[in-house]
Amino acid sequence: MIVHTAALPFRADPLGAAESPSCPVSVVNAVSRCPPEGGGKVNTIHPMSTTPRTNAPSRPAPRSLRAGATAARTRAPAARGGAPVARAARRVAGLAAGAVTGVVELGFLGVAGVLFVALAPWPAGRRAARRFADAGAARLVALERARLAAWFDHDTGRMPATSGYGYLALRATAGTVASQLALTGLFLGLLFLAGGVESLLSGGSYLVPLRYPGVHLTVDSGPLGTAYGLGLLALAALWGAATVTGERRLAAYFAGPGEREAMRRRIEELTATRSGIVRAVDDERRRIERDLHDGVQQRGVALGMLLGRARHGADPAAVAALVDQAYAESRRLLDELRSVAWRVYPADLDELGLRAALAGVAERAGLPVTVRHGLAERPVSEIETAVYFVVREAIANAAKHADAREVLVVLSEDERAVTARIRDDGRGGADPAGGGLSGLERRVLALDGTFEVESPPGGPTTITATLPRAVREGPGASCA
Amino acid sequence: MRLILADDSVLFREGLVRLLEEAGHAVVAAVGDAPGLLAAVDEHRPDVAIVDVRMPPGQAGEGLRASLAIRERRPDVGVLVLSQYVETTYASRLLAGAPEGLGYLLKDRVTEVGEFLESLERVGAGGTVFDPEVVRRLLARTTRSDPLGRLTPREAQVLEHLAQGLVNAAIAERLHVSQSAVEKHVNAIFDKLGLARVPGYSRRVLAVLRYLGA
Repeated sequence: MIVHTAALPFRADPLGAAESPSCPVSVVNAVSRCPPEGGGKVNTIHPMSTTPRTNAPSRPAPRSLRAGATAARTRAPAARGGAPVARAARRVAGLAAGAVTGVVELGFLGVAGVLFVALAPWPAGRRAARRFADAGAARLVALERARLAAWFDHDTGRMPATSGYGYLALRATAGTVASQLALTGLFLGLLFLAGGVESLLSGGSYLVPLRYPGVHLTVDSGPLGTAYGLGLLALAALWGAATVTGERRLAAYFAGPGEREAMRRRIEELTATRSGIVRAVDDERRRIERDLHDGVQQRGVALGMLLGRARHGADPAAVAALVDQAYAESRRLLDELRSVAWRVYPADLDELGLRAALAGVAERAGLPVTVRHGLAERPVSEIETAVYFVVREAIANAAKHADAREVLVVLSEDERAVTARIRDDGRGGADPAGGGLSGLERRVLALDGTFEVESPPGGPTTITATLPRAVREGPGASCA
Repeated sequence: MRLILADDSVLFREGLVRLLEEAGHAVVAAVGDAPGLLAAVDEHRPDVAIVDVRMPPGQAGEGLRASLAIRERRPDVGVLVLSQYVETTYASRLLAGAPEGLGYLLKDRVTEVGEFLESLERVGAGGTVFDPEVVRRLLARTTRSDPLGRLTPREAQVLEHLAQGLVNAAIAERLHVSQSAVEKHVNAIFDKLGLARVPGYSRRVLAVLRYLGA
């Protein structure tokens, strides 16, 4: 019978008895007992990462390491945006800081210009002025990057030294004026609003006559101030938002990668992941060979020895006993062979899909495994296979090394990616560079996914693999 | 004989210990890695050490290196190397020293109990035993211009048996031919390979394999 998971509706309940009562799947609801997220060592590896992973499992302090944060990657603002009010406050703080840095930058550019002109006649003086200007510009650019990152949630790449002056000049003039305007609008708006509200509440309002051609109005100062203040605030907010966007665009224009640069990065990334996948294939072959050597072949030899001894034996009773043992050994040999074949590639996966294949993994796990299958339809084959192997390896690690009591597997998706998260309640300390995990990582990276191992000493371990649903487009897709 | 067994598979070790004890040998130590093997050889001074090529920690040639070390430190201890695959390189490395009390067999040969025990006896008695597969592999890579390529199929067969350390009488029995026929083949082999006649079969093996390994 072929079951297409694509036909199955989204279901949040764990896999198991409800669907296949004949299967003795040891499934428990581990959700509530699984420890909460966070607080541990995080190791995110992006495809571009060439940075060696340095976090040793023994490191006591929780530490976050994000390798491969590059110019082309702007972290989604939502990732650290927080509540709208907090975000607005950070934007205002950023604008205020920008107004100050702008003045500093203008001053610096002025001084640098004067120095250049004044020292121009002497080569040594020109060089000194150049050194001073370069160092100052680099510092100011770094300051701007920090400001953009801290308050505008915008990570820019390192800016080439040559474009530093252009950026500073534009940013110092336009940026400063725009920030000042936004802040002034904000300040005046707040003043009007406060005055208006105060006079409304205290009743100390007075009438303001408005006389235009054709219009003769007398307005109460309370509502007038309030309306004026609100209007100004709205304008200031719009203007501020535009300024923030402008600042980000400006920085991205000067620092962001051009098409060539994006292409170069993509090539680098592809080269790295390509050799990674070749290594992963080799590692897998090595594992298969070892499986065959340590398991099947040894059993085969053991079986042969039993039969050889039986053939050699003189006592019929002893011979019969040896033949019995040989028969039992032949059964074990076949079991072993079957399990090696299954480890190489489970035929279920193509035939029955991820859901059934993972149910098989859960049955064989030797500890309670809950699978929450949140995928509405079957992903494409290579994604499905990658998810399958990530989940299986993570479960195997949990059972073998982490001493875990139970494992929770959550498969989820959105319009762009499929995510597999596997969490166990074991003792943690998994080494992302270790054989099994690094092989999986290479596989995931080759599919343009991300692979994250969070495993502080003492546990729990969470492994997250995110795989894009579709093949990535050209180089432009990577630079937002 | 007093034997030491070194193999990282418990299953294999246990099976082989039983087999050897049933055949009347005493297994004085059974170890799972190369350092353990060297220590056990020093401690027990066995007649023969049976060693798997692949052992922890590296799972690659540790057993072979340990075997070479044993041959250097204790030439009186016979070494029978077992290997999952036949590698002619291993054979020639083992043969770099003295050929006495040396064997190199495919691991599966232990299932042919009678022949395996005979091979073990020959190694214990200071003989040399090489797996027929070694000779077959060497013959397979010869070319027409190579003297080996000029051996008749029958002569190649005789050569395999020579490599196993068998005397002419035993070869004659196995190939179901007369002893004089075997002698004729052996001489033909030596002629074709340009080897001078030397007495003693372990020397014959040495001569043949040295030539092949060159």
